[in-house]
Amino acid sequence: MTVDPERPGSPFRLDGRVALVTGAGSADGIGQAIARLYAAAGAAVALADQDARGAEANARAIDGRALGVHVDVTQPESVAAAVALVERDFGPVDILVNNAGITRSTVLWETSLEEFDQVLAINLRGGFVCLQAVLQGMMSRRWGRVVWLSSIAGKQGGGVFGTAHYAASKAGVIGLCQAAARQLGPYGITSNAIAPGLVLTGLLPRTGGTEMAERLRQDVERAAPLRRAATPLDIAHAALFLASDAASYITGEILDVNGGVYFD
Amino acid sequence: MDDLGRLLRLDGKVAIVTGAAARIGLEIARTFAGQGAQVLVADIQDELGERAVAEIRAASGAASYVHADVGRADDIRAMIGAAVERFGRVDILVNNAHWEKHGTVVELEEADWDRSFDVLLKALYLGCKYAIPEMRKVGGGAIINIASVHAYAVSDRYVTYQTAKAGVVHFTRQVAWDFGPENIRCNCICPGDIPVPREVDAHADEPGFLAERTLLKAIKRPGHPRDIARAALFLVSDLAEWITGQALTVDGGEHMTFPTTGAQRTRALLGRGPGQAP
Repeated sequence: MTVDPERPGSPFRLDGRVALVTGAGSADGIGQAIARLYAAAGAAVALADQDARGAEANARAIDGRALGVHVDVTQPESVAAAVALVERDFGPVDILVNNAGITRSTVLWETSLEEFDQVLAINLRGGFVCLQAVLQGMMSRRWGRVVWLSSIAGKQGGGVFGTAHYAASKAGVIGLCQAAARQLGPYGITSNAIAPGLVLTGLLPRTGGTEMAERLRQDVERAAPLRRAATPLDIAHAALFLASDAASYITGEILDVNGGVYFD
Repeated sequence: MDDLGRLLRLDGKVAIVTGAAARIGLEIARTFAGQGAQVLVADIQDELGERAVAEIRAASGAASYVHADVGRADDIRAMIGAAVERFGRVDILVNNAHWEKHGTVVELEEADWDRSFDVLLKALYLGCKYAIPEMRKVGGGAIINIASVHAYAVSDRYVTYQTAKAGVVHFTRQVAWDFGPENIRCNCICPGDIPVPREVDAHADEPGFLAERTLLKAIKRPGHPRDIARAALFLVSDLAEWITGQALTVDGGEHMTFPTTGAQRTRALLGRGPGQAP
């Protein structure tokens, strides 16, 4: 049997792996959901966030090996320090989830260069900085998984909320993801992205207000073939698959997890 | 841990896999049975199909064989009927059976075009037409169509396969859209080159074999039917309950280089003779 009946889900498990998930500091976000599921699948998980207290609180809530660390993904020194801390406690990073991100709904003609740079610095450059911090180790060990969070917005010039700079950053993530897949595949490293549609996290009401978030939710529930908006767990399920041995032959893939609202 | 194991289990579910006597279909049938599904193995290769069933049963799985030429509407209707008759329901349909003929539009006979499209595309319409009403009765279902990286590529003298597989990708989206509200998900997998494992084993010691076989791939190992089977398990399982209408490429990263260098590779494969699908 391909899937060992003695150990349900074994190729989908992450036993013995060390995972670093960025943007895992908010209580209801995608990052914490991924970290929680990875821990349940047997990985030791580092939750990294600019909000160190949030990351630590989320780590404490996990039943398994979990660690909260401070990171500012725009600062290479901060990322290096976070990685050093994770390696000290858990060992080398096998799985990197580039999840840290912000969104903005400013229209093009009102977007300042500062805001543009800020979105790109976190959503796109931040992933590059984090990848570089763990890359050499993965290459020398000939095993690694990189999971990127892109977005439906990166394929459609914007999403239900994010506008030009957000769309550009998430489209950029696709390019980085596939470039990493091409160059790192020979070293046993896969690089894949998830492109979620609307996900019900605190990010929406925090950035756009409660009323807007509720309207978006209702829109998706009407339009999506599966008749609901996504939860962070839906995205975590896909992130688990991509990090597991079950997906060892998948690389450079942008997996759309959106309930059927968009295909390409 | 228990939750994760449960999310992947298919206990109580009935799966139909077409073209399940060998290769990718066989591996999917084995994998689903290993997770607790009752599997209807459908094929035209009766002896191999019966052997697949015996093997699954020997591993404590539940399976049954049905002869089905998916190019024939009557066979497809009977196949769905057999699943209901023998196992009582239909939860999962994997449209995997394959037949195609190489050639340009000038070279191909109309009958070859029709037969290719009957098996590669019309069979999906008929399979869904008869399986979906059964899925409705049990409150939902999951459909997997096996497409190909050729859905997005062009290469020499391969018009039936590539056109039909591009059709499979869009057919998948439409079915997902129409039946999502009834909790029926439909996704496809686009495999790259998946050689017969036996062939890989036989040549594994030859210098250059693996290098040639993985030349275009980011991941330097040949594909294996279990790579597709695991993707299929993910997509039918509760892990993917928010994924529908999508095409999941499983090819070791070959699609990123395929349009330019893939054509050359396909030419070499076609040189080995007709009927051999990359």
